[in-house]
Amino acid sequence: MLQAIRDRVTGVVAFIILGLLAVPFLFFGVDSYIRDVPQDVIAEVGDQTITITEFQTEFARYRAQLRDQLGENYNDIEVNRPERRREYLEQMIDQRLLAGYAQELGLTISPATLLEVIRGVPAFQINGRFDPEIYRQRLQASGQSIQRFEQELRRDLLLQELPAAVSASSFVSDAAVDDWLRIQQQAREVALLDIDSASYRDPDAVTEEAIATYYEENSDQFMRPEEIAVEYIELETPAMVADEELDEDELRDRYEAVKARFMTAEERRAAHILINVGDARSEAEAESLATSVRERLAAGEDFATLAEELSDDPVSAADGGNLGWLEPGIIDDAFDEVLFSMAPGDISDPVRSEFGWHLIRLDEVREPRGQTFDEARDQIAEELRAERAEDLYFELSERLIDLVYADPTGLAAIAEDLGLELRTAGPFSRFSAEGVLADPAVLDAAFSDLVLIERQASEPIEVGDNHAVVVRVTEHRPSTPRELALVADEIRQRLAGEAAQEAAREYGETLIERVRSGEATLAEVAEAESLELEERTVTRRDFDLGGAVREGIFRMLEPVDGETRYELIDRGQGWTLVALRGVTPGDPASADDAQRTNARQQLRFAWTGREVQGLLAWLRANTEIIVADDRLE
Amino acid sequence: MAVELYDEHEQSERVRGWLRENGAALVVGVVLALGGIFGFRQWESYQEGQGALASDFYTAVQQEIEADQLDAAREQLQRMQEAVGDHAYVDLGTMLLAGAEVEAGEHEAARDHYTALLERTAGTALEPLVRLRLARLEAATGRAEAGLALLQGERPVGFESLWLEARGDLLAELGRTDEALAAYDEAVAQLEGEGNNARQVQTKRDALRSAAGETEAS
Repeated sequence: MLQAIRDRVTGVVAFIILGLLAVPFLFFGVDSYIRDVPQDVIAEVGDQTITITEFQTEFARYRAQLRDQLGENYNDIEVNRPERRREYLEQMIDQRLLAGYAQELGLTISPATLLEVIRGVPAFQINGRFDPEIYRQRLQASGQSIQRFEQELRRDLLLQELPAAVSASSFVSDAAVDDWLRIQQQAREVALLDIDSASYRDPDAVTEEAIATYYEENSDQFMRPEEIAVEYIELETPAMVADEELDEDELRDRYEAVKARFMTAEERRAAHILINVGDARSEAEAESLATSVRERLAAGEDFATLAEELSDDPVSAADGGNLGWLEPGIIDDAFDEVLFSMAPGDISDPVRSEFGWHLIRLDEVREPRGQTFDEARDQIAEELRAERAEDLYFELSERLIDLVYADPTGLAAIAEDLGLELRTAGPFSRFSAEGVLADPAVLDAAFSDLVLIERQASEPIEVGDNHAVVVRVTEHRPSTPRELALVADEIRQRLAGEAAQEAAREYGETLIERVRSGEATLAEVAEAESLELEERTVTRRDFDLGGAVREGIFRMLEPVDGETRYELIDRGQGWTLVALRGVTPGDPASADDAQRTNARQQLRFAWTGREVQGLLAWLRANTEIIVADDRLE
Repeated sequence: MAVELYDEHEQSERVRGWLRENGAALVVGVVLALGGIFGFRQWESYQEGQGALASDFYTAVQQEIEADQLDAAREQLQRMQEAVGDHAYVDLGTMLLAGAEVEAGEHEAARDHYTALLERTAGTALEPLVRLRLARLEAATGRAEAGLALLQGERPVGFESLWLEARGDLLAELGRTDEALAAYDEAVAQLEGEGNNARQVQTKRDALRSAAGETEAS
């Protein structure tokens, strides 16, 4: 067969076949040599992919960021829930969509733009100017290569390119600003009458029958939450070691071992004259020179003058031999031995150190400062106890885990084995749990399927430092309806409230009718009924009115031909009777620049936000997106 | 199958013969294939270069607009177009410029830009944006009918609420209050769950209804 092919492969055919062979190289071959095609894909977005590794890496980074931001409020279980993972994946899909579309459009971040952005980062600047050396160092310190950093920055900038363009190219016309100002700055002339419903309230008038009907129709509102009774063990080693006697000798040893934390060393201010031994003079010559200097000093010659003249330590010699404050260990043992046994004002005999021969003058002594053992004892004891608690916790919690795994069907034997108290609590619900059992992690465990339904002991749950709880459910009371007798009064009050509100509304209607029919003015009605009438101008920013009334007033139809409009606005426990007399539209001409800018920003912000969302939704609808949900774990 | 019938000498002779006959075609084929590969990569890098050039022009347009220098911005845009011809950055730059022109009161220039963009962006994700913005411009310049005509037909996916709100604005301007109210209502329904955005449209709707007095929709 091969032969048959060979025979037929003449010039033209060979040309065509080779040409065809080249085609896949053109479009696929080159590509797949350049780019790895990932196998473990979690989502495909058009011709782009999100690999499981990419998802996991980015999601982990997101969680770390969140943990930094939220601190103690961070709840990893909550953040790691499937819905949240899915949500994050959707965000990644949005990013892929934007990146893909930017690429399709041929958008790029040019080197010049990239450089400009990098130059603008304050962390890479010294005195407000970009410094290439600092840039290199910062990246090195964060363990990132320049190439990688710039590549990621370029990618992030490219993602923002389209949303930024949508936002920057939007406009809000003057006409639109005017319209919005007319609405926002409108004022309404009203008279307000508050009608209270409390006086119509009559719980005794609510019939048993009405209560029973309400109970039947709204039974899901009257459920008792499910409850559990539990036995539990609390391993709290800090409490266990709190009263333990501590050995005084051990405390003292510990103090000595870490003394530097509590005490500064004794310091001595000294001066010296150094006679070197070496190329210039022999050991014997140096020693005899030192001795002769000692004699000249004893004869009353000035130490500082001699130091300047003779000392081989040029730095101190220039300052009359002064060494400043010294603590043990700075120069050398032989030197220290002499220095720390002298009395202030003394000048030593020649001392041989590794540097040569010294004559030392002690000027001043500074006693050690800090806490003595007695002063530091409590702190040391506390630290020692914490350490004991930690050790004990380590030992006991290991055993606790082993025992629970060995037999999760009961806690009594485990408690006895560990010398801990077996406690019981309940029945309680999620909402009535107390003490350590009210800890969210403990509640989650107690109401989990394993513990609640299979009646197994939970794993040890950490609720604090060296503090864990193991819980086992002994009784479960499922959610049950609360009996009618228990909730009848609650229902009675509710129904009485509803009836009172209705009665107050009817009363309000009669007031409006009296005014409309011309029988009396609103002011007269108010006076006759001993109600307070408030005449005022209302704007959209009059927050003293409360949302329901304020918004209700602005929803009322405008009066036509100077005729007042009346309406009752529901305040929940009463009504506000509104008489709307007139409407003054906002006047764009009188708005100042700040108000105009404000209105413009408000509209622009809302529109561009929706436009970017729209763009993403459009891309989603026009891109094939496949998500492998099962790989989201 | 037939291969083992030839001894080594015969094999090599046949190969030589084949090469004599077809060698030239082989060489041409390989050269063409390699040429294709390198040509493709060359083209890619040319495209990248064009993109970077366009991107820098786009930045320049942006900077001129931020400095309120619309003439200079127009000039940069013109130069970009001469340098790279058709490129998405030309469209984005034009959109940027048109928006700035509207806010500067140069409505005619903006209208011309948007009209040109409508054609250039047809069928892309940018088209709904251009259409919406031109319609808003028409609403602002007393040409509500023309604006409404732009928003006829199917609403593009993702832009439904913006479409409806713009329609509401245009219909209100034409005094077709009931239709306007219906459009706003539909927009609010589309914005369910987006507190501030929904409230903003609702406020507009309530203001229109309140001012219109008794209508069928009230």
